[in-house]
Amino acid sequence: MPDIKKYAAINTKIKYLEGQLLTDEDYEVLLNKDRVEDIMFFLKGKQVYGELLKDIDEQNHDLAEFELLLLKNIVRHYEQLLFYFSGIYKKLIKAFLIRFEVSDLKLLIKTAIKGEDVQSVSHSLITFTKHTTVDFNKLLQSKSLEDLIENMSQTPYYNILKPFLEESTDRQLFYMEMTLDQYYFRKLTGIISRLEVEDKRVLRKFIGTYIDLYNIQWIYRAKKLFNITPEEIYNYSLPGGYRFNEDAIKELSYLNSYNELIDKILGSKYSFLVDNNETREIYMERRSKRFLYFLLLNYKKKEQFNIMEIMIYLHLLEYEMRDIISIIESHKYGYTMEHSKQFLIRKV
Amino acid sequence: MSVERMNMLNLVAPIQYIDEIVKEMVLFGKLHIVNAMVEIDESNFMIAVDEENIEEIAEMSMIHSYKDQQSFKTFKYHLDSLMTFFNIPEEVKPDYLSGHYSFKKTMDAVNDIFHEADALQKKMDAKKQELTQLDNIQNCLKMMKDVNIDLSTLNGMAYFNYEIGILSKEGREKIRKNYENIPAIVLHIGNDQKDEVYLIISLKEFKLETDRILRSLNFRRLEAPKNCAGKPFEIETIFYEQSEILRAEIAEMEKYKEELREKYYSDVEKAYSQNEMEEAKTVIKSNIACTDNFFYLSGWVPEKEKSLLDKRLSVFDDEVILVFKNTKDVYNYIIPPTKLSNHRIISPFEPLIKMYGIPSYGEIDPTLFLSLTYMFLFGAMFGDVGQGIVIFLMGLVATKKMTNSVYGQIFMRLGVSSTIFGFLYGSIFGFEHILPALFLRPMENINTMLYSSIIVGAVFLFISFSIGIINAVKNKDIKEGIFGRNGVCGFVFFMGLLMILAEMTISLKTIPMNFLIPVMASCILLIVIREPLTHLLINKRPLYEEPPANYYTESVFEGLETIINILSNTISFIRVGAFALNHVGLFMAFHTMAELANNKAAGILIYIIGNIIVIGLEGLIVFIQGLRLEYYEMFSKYFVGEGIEYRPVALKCS
Repeated sequence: MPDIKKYAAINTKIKYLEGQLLTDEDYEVLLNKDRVEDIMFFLKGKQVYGELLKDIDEQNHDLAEFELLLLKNIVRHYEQLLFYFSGIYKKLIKAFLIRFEVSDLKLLIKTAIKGEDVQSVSHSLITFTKHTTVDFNKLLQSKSLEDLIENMSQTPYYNILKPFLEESTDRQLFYMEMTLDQYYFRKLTGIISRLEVEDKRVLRKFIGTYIDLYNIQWIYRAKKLFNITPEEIYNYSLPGGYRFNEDAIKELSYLNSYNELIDKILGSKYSFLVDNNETREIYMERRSKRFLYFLLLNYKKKEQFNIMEIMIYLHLLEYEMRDIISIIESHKYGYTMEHSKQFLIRKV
Repeated sequence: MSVERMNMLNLVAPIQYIDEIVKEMVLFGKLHIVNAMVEIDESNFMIAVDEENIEEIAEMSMIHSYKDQQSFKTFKYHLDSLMTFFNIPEEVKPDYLSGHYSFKKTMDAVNDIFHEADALQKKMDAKKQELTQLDNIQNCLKMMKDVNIDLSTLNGMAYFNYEIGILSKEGREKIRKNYENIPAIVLHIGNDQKDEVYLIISLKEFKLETDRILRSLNFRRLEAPKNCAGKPFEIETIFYEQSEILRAEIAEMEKYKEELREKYYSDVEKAYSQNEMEEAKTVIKSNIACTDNFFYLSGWVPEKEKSLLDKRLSVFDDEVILVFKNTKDVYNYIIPPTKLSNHRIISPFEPLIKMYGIPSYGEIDPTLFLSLTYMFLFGAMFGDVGQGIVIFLMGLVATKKMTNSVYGQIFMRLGVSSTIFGFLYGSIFGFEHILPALFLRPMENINTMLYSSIIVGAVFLFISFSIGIINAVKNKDIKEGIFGRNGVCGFVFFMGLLMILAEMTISLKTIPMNFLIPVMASCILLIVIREPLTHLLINKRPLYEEPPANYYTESVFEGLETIINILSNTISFIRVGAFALNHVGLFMAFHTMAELANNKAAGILIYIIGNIIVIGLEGLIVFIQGLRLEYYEMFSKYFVGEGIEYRPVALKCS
C-alpha cells in the first residue's frame, strides 16, 4: 500500500517546487536570446531565480559566479528538504550531498596536483557551507597535495586517498577521482539497502541504472584512452548495477579489444551510448544523462507516494541548472541554436 | 520600572585623541554606537555655530568614514594558538587595561612567545609521530603473532615483496571473484576487531602493478617491520622498550611546556585582554566619521550615566566637544534604542517580552503588567502547594546550574505563585482534603471558577485597552488610538459588550439598552471609516491611501471581525478556570488508579508518577496557555514591539 501519510508534507512541497521548474517554452525563449545578459534578465523575471540571482548584476556579470550560484542552488534544495526527513532517510539525502562534496574535493586535488595554490579555487567550491562535514577552511590552507591529504585526516577521505600519494603524478588525479566516486556510491548503496522495501526497490533500480551507465563509460574510457590492467578496471567499477551485475562487468573488463566492447554494449539496452561512430565521445555523457532524464519522466507517471517523487524533483532541478549552464556556455563559444540544443540534457 | 531615558551623544575631537577617547568609551561600556556618517547625512549631527567651533564645522564638509589600516590577523592567530597551547581561559582583566600601554609592544611580545612555543610544539609533534609509527609496528606485530616465520626470511626475499594490511569487505569480495587473475599470493593472517588482516606476497618485478591493484581494492597497508629479524612474538618487546624511551622524552617536553606556561601566563593573559579591548575599539571606530584633523562620534547613552561619561572625558578638557541631545530633537530621524530597567523581581520576565518584540522607545514597558498577570494566570491554572514548591526548587536548581538560563528565574516565580494559589484552593500534591481552602475548592464550585475567570479576563483586557490608549496618546496616533479597534472606539464597544453581558446574566441594570446599542454600533462605524476620518481631522490628503473600494472591503470585514474578536478575547479567559479544574481532574484519575492498586507501595508509586506527569505535562501546557493569553489576547491590545534593543559596546567581563 502506498504510504500516503509519510510523504504527505514533503510531496506537497515537491508539487509546489515542481511548478516552478522551467517549461519547454521557457527553454525556447532562452535558446533564442542573443546575449547572456538577456538570459540572466529573463531568468530574473522568474520567481525562484529572481530571489537566487538578486545579487547578480546582469550588465556586469561574472559567468563563473553565476554558474556556481546555480550549482549551489541544487545543494540548497537538498539541504532544505533535509528538514522533512529523519533517521535513515535524512542520511539518504545527506548521502546524495556527498556527490557535491566529492566534486569539490576533486577540484582541490586537481589544483594541488597542477602545483597551483588551492586558494585560487576557493570561490568555486559548491559545498563550502555549514552543512558539509569537511573543514574546507583548513583544506584551503594546504600548500601541496601531501598537505591537502594530511589536512583531511579527520575525514573519511583520508584513509582512502592517502595510498595514492605514492602513485606517479600523471595518474594520481585519475585514481583519486575514481576512488572518491567509489566512496560516494558505496555510501549511497549502503544506505539504500537499509530503506523500507518499496523505496529500496525503486531506488535500487534507478541508482542501478545510474551505476550501469557509469560503469560502461568508465570501462569504455579505460579501454580506449588509458592503459589500465583489466584487474584495475574491474576493481574500480561499481557494484550494484541494474542490468550489468558483477559477473557481466568482469566480463567487460577482461574483453581483449575495444571493438569487442563496442559490440557488447551495442547488444545491450545501452546501445544508444555508442551507436553513432562520429559523435560517440562528445555526447556520451549527455546521452547517459538524457536517458536518465527520460527514465525520470517515465517514473513520474507511475512512482507515487514513495521516495522517488523527491528524487525525481531533485534530479530534474539539477538537470535544469546544468542545462542553463550549457546554454550560457554555448553562448560563450558562439554556437548556433541548433548546435546548443545538442548539449542540453532535455530534448527541446 | 520602565524604558530607560536615552540621550544622543555627539562628540567631536582632534584625531590624535581617537585611540584614547575610544578606549574610554569601551571602558565606559554604556554607549550604543550609531554610525556617524548616517547621522551627518541626516543632518542630525548638530554643533552650535560659534567662533570656537568654527574649525570643526568647516571641516565637516570633507568628511569620510574612518578606516583603520592595521590588520591583526597574524597576531590573532598567534594569540589563539598560544591560548590553546597553554590552556589559558578567555577572561578580560581590567588591570591590564588601565593607564597608557603600547599594544604594539604586547603584540611583539606575543609573536616572540609564539615562535618559542611553536618550536616546542613542532618538536613534540615530531616525537609523537615517531611514537605512533612505533605503535603501528607493534600493532602489526601483534596481528602477525600467529605467523611462525622469522622476519629476516620475509625481509630477505630476493624476488618477492610482502605487504601486510587490511582489506574491506568489498575488496575481499572482488579478490575472491577474480583470484585467478591476481598476480600475488593473498593470505589471511588474523583479524583486528572488525578488520581482516592479510599478508600479500608478490613478485618484485610486478611491484607497480600489484601496488595499483591493491590500491584499487582500498587495501589499507599497515606499517610492516621491514628492518627486523626474529619471530614476530619475540621481537615485540624491543619495540616496546623503544617506545618507552620516546614516551619519557615527550614527558620531559611536557614539563618544559609547563615551565613556559608559568613564565608567560600573565603576558598571554594581558595580550588577550588588550586584544579584546582593541576589537571593541574597532567596533566603535568602524562607526566613526572623520576628516584630516577631527573625528566625529555619535551614539546613545542612558541619561543617568551622562555625568559619568563627562567625568571620564574631563581629562581632555576643551579639546573635546561633547553634545547631549534629548530624544525629542532627533526622534523623527533616528529611533533610540530601548533599555528596559525593571526591579529584579520582575526583570526575569523581560525575555518573554523580547521573544515577541522589543518595546519601542516611546512605549510603556509592558514588563510589570505582563509579569504580574502571567504569574497570576499560571498560579490560577496550576494552584498546588506541593507542586508549586517543586517547580520553585527546579527553578532554583536551574539558576544555580546554568548561569545564563532565564527560565530558572521564571520558574522560581511561577512556583511561588502556584504555591499561593495552592493555599487558596487547598491543594497539596493533588490531595484536596488535607489543607483547608482559603478561597474555594475548584471542583466543588465549577460555575464560580468559570465565571470568575471571565471577570478576571475582563479586568485584564480593561487594563490592556487602557495601556494601549495611553501609548497611542503618547505617540499622537489618532487613527489607531481613537478610532482603532484597539483604541478608544474598540474600548467603548468592549465596555458596552460587558454591560450587555452583565444585564443578560445577572440582570445588572446599567445603561439602558436603547442607548447602549446605538453607541456600540457607531463605534463599529467609526472603526470602519477611521482612515478618511483621521485624514479629515488632521487635514491630510488624499483621504484614502489605497482605492476606496479596496479600503472599504477590508475595513468592513475588519469591523465585523472586531465584534467577534472582542467577544472571543473575553471568553478566551474561561480557559483559566477550565485548566484549574483540569488540574484537579487529572489528578483524580491517578487517585482512582492508586486506590485500585490495592497495594500501599504500588499506590505510592502511582501518586509519585502522577505528580511527575502532572508537573511535566500540565505544567508545560499551562505555561504555554498563559503565554498565549499574554501574547494573543493582551499584547494585541497594547503592545507593538518595534523597538531596537540597547546594545552598548563593552568588554565581556570587566
